[in-house]
Amino acid sequence: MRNLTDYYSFTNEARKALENFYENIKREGKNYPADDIAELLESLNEHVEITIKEKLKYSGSQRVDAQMMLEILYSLGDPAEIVSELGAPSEGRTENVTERITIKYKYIPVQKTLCRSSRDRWLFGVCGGFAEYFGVSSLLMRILFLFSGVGVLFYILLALLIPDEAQVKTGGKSAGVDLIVSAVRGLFLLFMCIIYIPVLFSFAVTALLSFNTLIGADAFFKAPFTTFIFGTTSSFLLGFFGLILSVSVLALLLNFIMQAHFSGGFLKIGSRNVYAFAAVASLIGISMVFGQFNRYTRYAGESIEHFEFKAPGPFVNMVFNEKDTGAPVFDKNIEIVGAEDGDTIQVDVVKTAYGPNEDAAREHSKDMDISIDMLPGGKMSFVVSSKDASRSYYTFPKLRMKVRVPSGIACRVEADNIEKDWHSHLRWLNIRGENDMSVSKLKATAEIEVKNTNVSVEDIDAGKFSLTGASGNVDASNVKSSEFAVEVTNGNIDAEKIESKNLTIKSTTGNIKTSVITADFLKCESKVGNVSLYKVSVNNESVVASNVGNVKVNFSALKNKSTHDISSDVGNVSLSMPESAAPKVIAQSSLGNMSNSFDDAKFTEDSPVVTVKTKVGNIRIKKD
Amino acid sequence: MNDNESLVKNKTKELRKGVLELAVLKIISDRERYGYDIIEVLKDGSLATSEGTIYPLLTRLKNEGLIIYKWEESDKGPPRKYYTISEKGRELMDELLEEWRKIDSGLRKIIGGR
Repeated sequence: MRNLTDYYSFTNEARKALENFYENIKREGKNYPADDIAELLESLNEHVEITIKEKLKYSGSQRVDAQMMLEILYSLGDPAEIVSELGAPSEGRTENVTERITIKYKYIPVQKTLCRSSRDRWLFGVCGGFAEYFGVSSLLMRILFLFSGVGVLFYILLALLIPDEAQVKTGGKSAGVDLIVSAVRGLFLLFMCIIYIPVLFSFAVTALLSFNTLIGADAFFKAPFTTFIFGTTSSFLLGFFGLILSVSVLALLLNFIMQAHFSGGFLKIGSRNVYAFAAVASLIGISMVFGQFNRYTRYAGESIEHFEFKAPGPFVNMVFNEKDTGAPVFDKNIEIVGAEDGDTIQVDVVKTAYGPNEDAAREHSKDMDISIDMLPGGKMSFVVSSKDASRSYYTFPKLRMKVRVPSGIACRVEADNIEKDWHSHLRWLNIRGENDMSVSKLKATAEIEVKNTNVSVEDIDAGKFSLTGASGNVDASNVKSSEFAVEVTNGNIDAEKIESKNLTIKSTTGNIKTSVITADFLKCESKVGNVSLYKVSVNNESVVASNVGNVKVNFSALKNKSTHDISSDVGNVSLSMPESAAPKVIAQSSLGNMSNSFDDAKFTEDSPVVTVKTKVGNIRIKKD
Repeated sequence: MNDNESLVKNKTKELRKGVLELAVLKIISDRERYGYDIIEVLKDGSLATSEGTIYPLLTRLKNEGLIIYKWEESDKGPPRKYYTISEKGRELMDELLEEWRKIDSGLRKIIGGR
């Protein structure tokens, strides 16, 4: 008989258990022919060895511990019963065997199995079974199943997959249930296969897209791949499949662990535990996806009138995707309410119409109003991007945004139009708020109304841009606009690098300070504050005035035939101009002193006319 | 486990035991099999009792001349004992099968199965 301890590394207990078992067979078989007992032992030994090999198949180890040994011996059965199976003992052997070595194998439970509990059950005992298996409260499991969205569906599936405790105990099987179980198991495997194919695709696409973003080759990869596979370029779908991917990987990992340590794995038929594990993993994953539907929302080809944030969460991606048919996506305007702190609302306008339907698409392009009401504490960044515009000559729907920002909310509007795309989807922006606000990277007509708040605008390329505020400072820089108007009641205005045909800057009580301004028509007024303009270039006409404050103007260039009025009722006026401009200067001060270095200038009929007036203040005009 | 359950278990065991020899003979009648293999087949057919009891049964059948076995070397692992049915065994099996069919149909009539 092969000594198995020579081939495998037995723990002491395991070796002892096996020895005791053989010893008991010998004792029980005392009255049987020695040959038979020897042969029996030989066969049992062979059986034990094959079973050990089976059990160690996936672990790569040679270790046989007590648990494994006792499991094997337990399934072999009681030595007395085994020996009695040899038939009637030979003559003269009725003596009772009393000195059996007691070993505990009869009472060691077989590896804990997941089964539907017969003690703790409300319906089919699935939750109770899980609770017993994991050693947690069954109430917790029930709550998990009830509130995880798709838990009810999975409950039914699990009820079919997991064996009943009563059946497991008696070792019997009910044929009917067995049939259903194998059918469901087959469907489950099929389901996994169906999932894996798109998962592989989505993995490839995700990788391609990351690469694409890295090298900035937008249309090349994105349009053909995602449009071909999913019929859309929506990042939502990618997110969706990404989630499935992660869940599947989790399931695979579980499978691996099960194979390595518990000789299981769901690809090996028969291990119900792993099916249950995979099902739970999918349950979690799918619940997550369902949870995402609330937050991570896609509206493609639908008419959405009202969108409400349901729970705090990070992201809403609205994809306005017009179909090839040229039918307008949105017949109605959109209203978003309840945006909270940290929410990002991203609007992607995707228009894929081309070919024969192109004209129809152009005709049907419809203006769209989006109105967003934010909640206190909300912070929103609005990104209008045109990253999916692979063909540049489309007429895109005009977006008109209205944002109502209540008090206590800082608002940041970032309208990020990609440089190479000359479209601006956001054509019209209207913001009304009562707190600090910043607007940047905007290429759209905009109206901004604020109260008691500071506003900063930056990188604006707009047709018409108006900013009105009750009190609060305004910072503006890098603005190109045909009509740029800033009017505030009490705040100071600081403007820099402004280019506009009609430029209006007004403050009732605040100071105005600007540098590098180019305009055809300039109007710059403050009633009480000081006005100080540096490097101004005006082509047609400028009016710079303050009632009470001092006025200080530095012209960098004066066009011929242009007229300029610079005045202060009470304050001093200080003016500097390049000598080359040769302006005609008209200076009047009722009470103040006057110094004018352009007195001797020679001017013609074409010369720019500069009128400087003050009632009380001094006037100082100098050459640059 | 209460008395009733234990009784059911014992009676079930008795029932299975009666047909176990026939099942083993049938299993090895089409090709040679080793002990572990036979147990696996029995498990598939839901006829398994304690795994250990199959081996003494095989010894008994061998002693009765109904089956024969031979050792076969295996390249991976120990030499295995391959069992196959003897001529005498086959004759007995055929007769037993005939008997079994009678029992089966008789029982069906009594319990009203299809």
